Amino acid sequence: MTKPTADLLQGSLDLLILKALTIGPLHGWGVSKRIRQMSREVLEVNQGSLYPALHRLEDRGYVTSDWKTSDEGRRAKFYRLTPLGRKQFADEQERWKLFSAAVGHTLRAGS
Amino acid sequence: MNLVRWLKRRLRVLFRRVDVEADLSDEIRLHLDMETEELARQGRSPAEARREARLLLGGVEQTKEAVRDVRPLQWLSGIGLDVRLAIRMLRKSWGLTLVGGLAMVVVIGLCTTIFVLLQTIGGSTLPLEEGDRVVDLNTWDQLTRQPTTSIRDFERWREAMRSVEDITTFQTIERDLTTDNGLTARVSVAQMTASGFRVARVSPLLGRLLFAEDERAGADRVVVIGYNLWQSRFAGDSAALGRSVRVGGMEHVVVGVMPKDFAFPVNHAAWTPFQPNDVPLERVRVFGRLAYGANIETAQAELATIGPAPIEVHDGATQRLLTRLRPYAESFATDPSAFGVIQLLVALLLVPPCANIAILIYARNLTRSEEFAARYVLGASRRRIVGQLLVEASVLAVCAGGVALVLTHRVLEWAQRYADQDLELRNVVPYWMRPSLSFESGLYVAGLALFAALVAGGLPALRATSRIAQTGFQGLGRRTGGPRLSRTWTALVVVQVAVSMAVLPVAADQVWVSLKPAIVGPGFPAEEYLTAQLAMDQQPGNPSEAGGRRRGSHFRDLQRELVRQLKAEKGVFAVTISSAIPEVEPVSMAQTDLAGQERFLAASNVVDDEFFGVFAPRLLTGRGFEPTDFNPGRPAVIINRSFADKLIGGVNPLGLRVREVAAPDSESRPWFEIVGIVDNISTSNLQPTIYHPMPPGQDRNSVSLALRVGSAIPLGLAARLQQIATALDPGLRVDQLRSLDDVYWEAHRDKSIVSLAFAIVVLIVLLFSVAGIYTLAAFAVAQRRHEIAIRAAIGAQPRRLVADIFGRTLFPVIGGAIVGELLSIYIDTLVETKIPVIGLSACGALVMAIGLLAVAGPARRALRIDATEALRES
Repeated sequence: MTKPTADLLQGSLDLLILKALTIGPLHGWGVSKRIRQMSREVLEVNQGSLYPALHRLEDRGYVTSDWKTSDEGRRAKFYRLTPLGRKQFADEQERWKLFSAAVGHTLRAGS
Repeated sequence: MNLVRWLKRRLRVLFRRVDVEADLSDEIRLHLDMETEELARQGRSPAEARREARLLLGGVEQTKEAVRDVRPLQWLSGIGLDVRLAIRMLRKSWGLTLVGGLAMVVVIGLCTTIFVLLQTIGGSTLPLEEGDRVVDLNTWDQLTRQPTTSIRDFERWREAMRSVEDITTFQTIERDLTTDNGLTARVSVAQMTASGFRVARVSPLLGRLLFAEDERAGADRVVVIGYNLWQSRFAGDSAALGRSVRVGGMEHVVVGVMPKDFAFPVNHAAWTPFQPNDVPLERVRVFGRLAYGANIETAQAELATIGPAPIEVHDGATQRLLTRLRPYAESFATDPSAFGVIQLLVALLLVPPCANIAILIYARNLTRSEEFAARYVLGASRRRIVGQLLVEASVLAVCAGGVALVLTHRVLEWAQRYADQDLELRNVVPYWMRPSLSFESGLYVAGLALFAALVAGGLPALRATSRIAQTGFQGLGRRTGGPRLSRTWTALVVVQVAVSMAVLPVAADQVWVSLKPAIVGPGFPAEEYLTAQLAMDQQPGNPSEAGGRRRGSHFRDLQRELVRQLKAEKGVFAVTISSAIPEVEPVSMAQTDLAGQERFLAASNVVDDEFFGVFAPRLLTGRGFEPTDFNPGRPAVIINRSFADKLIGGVNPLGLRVREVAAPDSESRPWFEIVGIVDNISTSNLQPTIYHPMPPGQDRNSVSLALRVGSAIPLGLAARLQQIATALDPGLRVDQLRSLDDVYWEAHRDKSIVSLAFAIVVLIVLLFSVAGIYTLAAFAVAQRRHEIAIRAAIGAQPRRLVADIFGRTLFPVIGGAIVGELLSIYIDTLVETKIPVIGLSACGALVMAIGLLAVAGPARRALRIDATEALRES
């Protein structure tokens, strides 16, 4: 099966980032790796879109960031969800469920 | 969202940009390192892993740019960069910056000054308790469109009106106020009924206000003084109360001091009781305060019902008189409904200079077409490029606006100081009207600057980038053809040149005529003359016609005696009396009985038998005044050279008749016969003048006294003059004693300032013409660079080269100059300035010479074109 391209994932990137951060704080590379892992290597995030998305989410107050030392001993910028971000994730998750159910119904209709 | 965190993030982006960028670089670098290590663990070589990591990221700089685009306030940093670029461009094109900036400063400053003045006039309110309930009452003559409120009107309304209380009348008089230590100040005094202070509802700082009892005939003369006068003449001493001062030569006792910033009813420094017999029957002002429960409408209706005091009916005079009642502050203001239109029209003054700047900016933009193409290819949108060009124009406009604000502030300060020192203005402009800059002024300037930026920058930017989408890559590296200046812009430059040529001679002539008296002087030693105003205080009595004649005769007797005693004073060589100071006489329309001669403005002066001896203008033809000419009813007059020059056909004026035409009843004015012509007293003032002999006993309120004293004014002469006058009659006032030189300087000061401002505007128009010619020439060189290179390479003569290059390009400009020269001749005929042909030609030659200078730069560049370089570029 062909991996979905970054273009198809554009609208859902924010949702995936928020999901990745629900487990715990991560730096940017860690977020892209976690998304790959959670999707069982299906979803490959366009890394050029990742950082603008992270900064956009931070500007909206859904995530916040701090510079810390990573497990590898490197100085990295870690992002974590804020309470507002958790609420936003729940809302977006709900919308995605409705959307995906509607798409499924549409594809099954008339078959 | 946490507000603190939100604000902190934005402040960090604005003021810690370096740290923010460093963080972003670190973040991206870490990502690359982690991805490289991951790929290396999967078996790739370090170099391959690094390369693949970069490819997966999609480009480091592109990623960083994408992050910057989503940062808060990113548009601000974009503008910040544009502003820095704009400043660099303005410094590079310093000529355009200088010319354009100067034009914007002048026009924005002018618009702002007018805005502030209109705001002051239209928006002022009376700064008294319930000031909007203080009303002005007057009788309005519909025919002359002037107020004609009389004492009788005041007495009638005070008696009859119920909706307006404390009806007050006042008259403004200018008097010398002398304290007991000899210090004298010329002040504006309100002779006012005591009720005026009740209308104001302001308590005195010291002492008391005026009482009704102070107005009785025979009551002690008292005065209430203002705060500034109290400070300057009494050093703020509370012992000023009860001290004696001389107001117009008469002793008054100070009974009160008013608080600071009080100068009601207009702009008065002192208040004395109203004496009905001291004032003429006409022209008083009346005001009052609306009674409790009354409003403007009911008061207006009541006043209309009561009407003005009846007067003798002739020619339907009563039918043309109306009563008016309105808020007191409005009686000093102009109808504000027209202000919006006035401000709009004034703001449109910005359009011509901005259109000129637009031409220059457009021409400059065309030379940057490669830059725009390159930026477009790299990803900048047309909107982004136009935005940057707009910022460039905005920086110029904002800087010009800032300078204009500072200049306006200075001009308003100067105007306020001038108005405070000029008694005539103080009697007209009330104390609460103080023009000053406000928040609204700042917004107005910002609006003008934005408008200027849109016209001067926006339009050329849209035009210069209009084909950028089509040219795209083709715009890069294009070397053939060069930039082109379209016919529209060329035509605008040509029109600009024609207009400059057309207005310059007349403008220069008018400026010279206005400034000449101030620069050259009157042409005779005015500093050797002292002048003063002699006036007679009205004595209590019957102000009838017979009483007036007696007063006039007494006044004339006093003048003769004063002149006799002054002539005996050491250092005084000659003394004369006239109705006005020479060369600053009042002006009115004059008519002669010469067939076909149109009326023209002429000054008029009534002079005594010493006048021509004192000022000694040369008698050109005819005769001087004889003793019999000074008898009443004699029709002889003498005119000056300028008057004679006005007559058509070079006719000999002797024997012609002349009269003044001033009012609708001009047919009843008497004719006078011209018996002599004298040279102009002042060589720099060409005002036509008629001199009448002063008959004895003529009823005049005041006359001018002139003394010739030589180069050194005798010490103590001023005090001696006052002493002689007071000794002759305590009611004889000597005011405004000053050198004739000072009088002329003051008289020409206003005209000089206006002329200077006009000269600056004309200069700016000329500068724009020169800039336009320079632009056309520069474009001609840029456009034909390749051709010039080839012709120079094959041996063309430099002179021939330059002539060929500029000939075709400047031919329309020369045509515009010729048209402008012809227009200037026509305008000269129209306004009758009679500029000599040599003067017109000189102006034309000057403009052509300046135009040639403008062409010199591009011509030199054309001759320095390196043929090899130019051919390689093609």
